Amino acid sequence: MIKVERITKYFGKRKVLDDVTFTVNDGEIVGFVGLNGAGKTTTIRVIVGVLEPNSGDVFIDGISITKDKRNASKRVGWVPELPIFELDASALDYFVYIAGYYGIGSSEARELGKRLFEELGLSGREKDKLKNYSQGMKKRFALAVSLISDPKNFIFDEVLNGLDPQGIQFFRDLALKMKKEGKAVLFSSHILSEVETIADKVVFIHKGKILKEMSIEEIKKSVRTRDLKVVLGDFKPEALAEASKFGQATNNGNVIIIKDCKGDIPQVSSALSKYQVVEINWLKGNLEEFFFKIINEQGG
Amino acid sequence: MASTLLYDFKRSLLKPVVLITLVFFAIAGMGVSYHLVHLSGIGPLDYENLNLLALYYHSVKNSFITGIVFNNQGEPLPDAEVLVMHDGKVVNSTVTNNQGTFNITIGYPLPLNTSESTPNIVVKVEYNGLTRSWSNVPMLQLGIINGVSQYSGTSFGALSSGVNYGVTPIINSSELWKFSECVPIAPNRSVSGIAVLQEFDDHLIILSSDNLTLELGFFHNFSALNVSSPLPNKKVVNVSAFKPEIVSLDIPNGANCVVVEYYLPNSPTFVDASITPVHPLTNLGYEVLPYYPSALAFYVGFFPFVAIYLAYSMFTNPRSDGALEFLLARPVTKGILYFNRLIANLLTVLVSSVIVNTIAVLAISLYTGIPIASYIIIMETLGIFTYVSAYVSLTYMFGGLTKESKLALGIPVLLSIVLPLINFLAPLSPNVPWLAYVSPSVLESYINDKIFNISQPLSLSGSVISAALWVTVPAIIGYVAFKKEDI
Repeated sequence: MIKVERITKYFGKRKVLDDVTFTVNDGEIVGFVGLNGAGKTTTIRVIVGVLEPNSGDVFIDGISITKDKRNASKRVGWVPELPIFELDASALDYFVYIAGYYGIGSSEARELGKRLFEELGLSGREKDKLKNYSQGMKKRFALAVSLISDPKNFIFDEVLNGLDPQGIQFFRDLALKMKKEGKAVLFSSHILSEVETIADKVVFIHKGKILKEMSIEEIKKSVRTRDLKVVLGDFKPEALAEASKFGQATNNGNVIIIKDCKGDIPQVSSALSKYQVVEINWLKGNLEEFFFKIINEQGG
Repeated sequence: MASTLLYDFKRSLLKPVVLITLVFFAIAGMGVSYHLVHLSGIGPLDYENLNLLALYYHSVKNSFITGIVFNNQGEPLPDAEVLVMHDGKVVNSTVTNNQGTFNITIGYPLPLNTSESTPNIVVKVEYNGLTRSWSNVPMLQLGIINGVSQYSGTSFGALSSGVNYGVTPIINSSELWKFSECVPIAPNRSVSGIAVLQEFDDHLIILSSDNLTLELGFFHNFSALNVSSPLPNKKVVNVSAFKPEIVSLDIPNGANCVVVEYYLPNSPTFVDASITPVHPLTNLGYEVLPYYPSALAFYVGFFPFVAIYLAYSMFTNPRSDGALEFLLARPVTKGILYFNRLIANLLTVLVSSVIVNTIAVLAISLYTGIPIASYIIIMETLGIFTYVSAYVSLTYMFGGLTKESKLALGIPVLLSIVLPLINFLAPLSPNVPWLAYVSPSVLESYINDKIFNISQPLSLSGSVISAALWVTVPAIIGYVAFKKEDI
């Protein structure tokens, strides 16, 4: 479990995080959503112990990252958006070096490295210099390193950026697999459709403040509209006139959209039955619309 | 955590720039030896592994040369060819026997007592492609004046009833010997005599014109000497006239001077005594090695630049480009990361310093035969290490203070150019005695002063404290800044 408690962080005199608080429970994927510069990456850097907060703390499985960093760091994995390594090192050697910080000896680390490299599709590239790795390979290498201690908590920071569809699928499946294994996963991404697909909960951050923390079900409920979509098998202009009795109706071929519909689904379906109703549903807003809606509510 | 330090050290040491530099260090080590030999002005004859020690003497009708040929370890060389030439013609030749000795008889006395202006006698030894030649330098045979034997150049002579029985030492040997004596042993006798002693390694080579008893005593310093009292740990050697002897010595550890007393047969009192310093690294080493720091400085002048680059590539640059951030997300603190890398860099500097000094001293030893001076390797390594380490620390300090890698690289480079100027200013500023201690190379200067006596006197405690501060203070400042600042 990752528990972020009232983190405040300044860069110079500028406050970049303001009393940030949220929790990622075990067996849960939490989407971390915000505009560029909102404070997502800074929050994550505080969580993994790279930055020290001016106040507040982060607890990884109950261990303070500020007071017992070495212990807490063993319990959390981190794949950054753009992993930066010392590029003159060869991949497996660097892996073994980092494993040393986990207290793993050279030969054991080498074996572990070979296994993880194979599992993550880096097999055969162990001796390559990291500078010769592609962006996707660097992320897989960062993942391999993060798996050294098989931590129960994981953070993916904009990990889908720059990946091909296969890479996106890989990390999406990985996050879901980790959830199944009971791990706590914080998944930061600006591809909100991806977050919507996999997250159980979403934390919205804006200008260094947490705007909202909602379950995906709550979000879905709150983004429902009164706009009705009807697909007809036998469209005729009379059907549009009939639909207009329930609200402002427009059509695109055989699809009619009734804005701010005053009837319910059975009523509309009955009225249009002679035009062969193939499909009828309320239109839903997506996470992106919801995100901008709450930003606007906060005054931009 | 030891494995990460080892890895950092390995990465530090195996960086291409360091490997290239280490190769350069090895070449520099050889360069130091070559430079050293030429700075000191010695030539091959000063260290060639072939030595000749002989006596020339004559009667009215014949003259004789008796001697010994040996190597720089004082071991006799059999089958060496000995030629005697007079006025450009070979008058006789022989080869040395199993004891390395030889006797040559010439059917007439060679005119040593003439006033010829050019050498007219040559004794030449050849062995395994090496050659040594001795030429007589014309001299006036002064003989005995007022009962005292007169000495001029390399010859001794005496006139007795108008007959010249002069004995002339023939010496052409390397300069490696620890002590060499050539003394008249019978100044008040009608027949002149001399004893020639040379020490090579732990062998003493003796050739005397008279039966002689020698007593040798070894001392740790001159001030402890009192030649009129019995010699401690003395060694007694009996020598027969014109019979070369090689005697093994057992020089006590730490002995730095030797007293030799000479007794004639049946004589209770010594006829002469001599006090000679024993140089552990031979006389040649005593002459040559003081040039070591100068030769070394010529090559190690740019070591700080390599050290600065090393620290830059291991700390400043990764910090600047963000590579340390990924590591800091691991179970490691800033302190461990910082000091691991600092120590790894310092170990690299240490290894490099050992390499350059070891190769330099080994090359000198192989080139000249001067014994391997392990204390020079150790002390000069320490001197270079503390000096260069200061620049490693400075680079870490500026790397900790700023994320601007160019600035963090540029300032130490600038300091490595400016700070050595203190070494030039300090001797010129006697009223500012502390100035020398401001230099990062103060301990190296102290070591050079102690070993070679070639720089201004410095205090040990001041030098050690200064060197320690130069390494530790910037390192600590860098760490505090690194810890305090966001990565």
